[in-house]
Amino acid sequence: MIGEDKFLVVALVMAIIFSGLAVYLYLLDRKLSKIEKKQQELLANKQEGK
Amino acid sequence: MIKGIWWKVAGLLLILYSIIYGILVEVPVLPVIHQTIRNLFFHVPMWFAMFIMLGTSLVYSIKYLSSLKLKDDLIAAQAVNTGLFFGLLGLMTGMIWAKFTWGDFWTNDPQLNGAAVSVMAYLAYSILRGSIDEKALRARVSAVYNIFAFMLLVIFLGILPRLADSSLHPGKGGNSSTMGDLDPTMRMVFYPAAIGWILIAFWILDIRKRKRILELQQQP
Amino acid sequence: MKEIIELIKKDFLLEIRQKYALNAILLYVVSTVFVVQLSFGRVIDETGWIALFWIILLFAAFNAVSKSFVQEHAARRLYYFTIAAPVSIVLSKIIYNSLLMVSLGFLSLALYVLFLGMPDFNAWLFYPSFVLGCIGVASALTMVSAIASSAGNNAALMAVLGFPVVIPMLLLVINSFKLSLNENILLLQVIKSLTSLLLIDAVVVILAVILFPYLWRK
Repeated sequence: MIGEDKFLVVALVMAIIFSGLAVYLYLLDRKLSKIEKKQQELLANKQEGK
Repeated sequence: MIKGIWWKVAGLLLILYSIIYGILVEVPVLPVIHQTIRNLFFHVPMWFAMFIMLGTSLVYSIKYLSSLKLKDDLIAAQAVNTGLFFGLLGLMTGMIWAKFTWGDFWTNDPQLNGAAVSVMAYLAYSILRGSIDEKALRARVSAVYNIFAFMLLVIFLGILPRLADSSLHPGKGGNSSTMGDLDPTMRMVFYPAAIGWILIAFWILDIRKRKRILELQQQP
Repeated sequence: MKEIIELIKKDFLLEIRQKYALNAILLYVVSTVFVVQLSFGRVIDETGWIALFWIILLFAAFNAVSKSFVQEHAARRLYYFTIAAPVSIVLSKIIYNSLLMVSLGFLSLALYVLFLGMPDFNAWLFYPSFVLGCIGVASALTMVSAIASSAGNNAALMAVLGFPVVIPMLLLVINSFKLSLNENILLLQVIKSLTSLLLIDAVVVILAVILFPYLWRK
């Protein structure tokens, strides 16, 4: 096919963009888990204080 | 929501596979669409993801009306937001595709009208949510509207294509059909892509839900 | 059943007592039809005729139906709540609004025909689908008005919420109007478009009966 290498470039660029989004999603997920944990500890502490 | 990370990774990998393989795979050459047929791997899964999300929100709205737990309402609202996001993506990919195959960004096509009306209905849903301050009342009223609008929408989308005698979308009217007899090699990309995007939609919903819960815990 | 009839009677009495609301809608219909006549004259193609007629009727319906729950004050709502079941309240509102809408529709049709003339419609499809369409729009808007009134009686909200719900019905009616322009339509087509209209009306009423009790309790 004509311009077979161009297909490769498109695939590569799209894959890189998508991986970036995936990493962003993963980091967001981890950050949320951390905050959730902290929040739970805070709530537990509060209950002990009372 | 299911615990664990495996399904999230599976969704990502499936989409990554559909991107790389979907661009490189040999596709059947059809008149007019030519290579743009590859957009099928991205455009159609958006609508699948949107409908799954709207269905999820319907389920949670019904659940809310029977349980009156505010958490169900929260999930329903976030599912609508996620579904709207995918709906807008579907509209955008569809418009770009339409520009290059049918020559215009917007054509008078039953499928397009259906999509526009559904996006409008759910934008109305978010406006309705925004206009009520009291939490329990907002949850109840918006759940009622959600069920009402979804049912009418299903009927609408069901009868709409049958009313119109021609559609530019494949499978209806008299143009080259791709969905009905989808090429087996394309099927190998299309189904994984659809499943992958649906999984990602659930992941986004999960993140939005957790974020909202944290925000609510911070406020009082 | 007796409850429903009593409630319809009450709505009817209220309407007669507050004549200005009905008169305002009638005046609105007359003036828009007149404007259409001024700008188009008598000559108008069939599709345009149908489209303009339904646009006029749709806005009249929004005005007529939107006040059905809005006009009820909180105190009066509480009073109804104690004496009547929510199902009979919503059914009475739907029946009353459908009656109002059908009579309003025929009045506007008469005016519209008077000013703009009437294309050759097949009467067997035209009138039944017209009545069914009016009933469908009225009952869907009744439900939307109930939702909007619990969200604080915002007029803009009514329009925003109403349009996506009304569009399916409107599309069906306009489609069967266009079909009735055909000189030789098959009986099967007539039955098909009438049953689909009947079906959507039935779905709206059933949904309203199921969902309204959730809106009503406070």
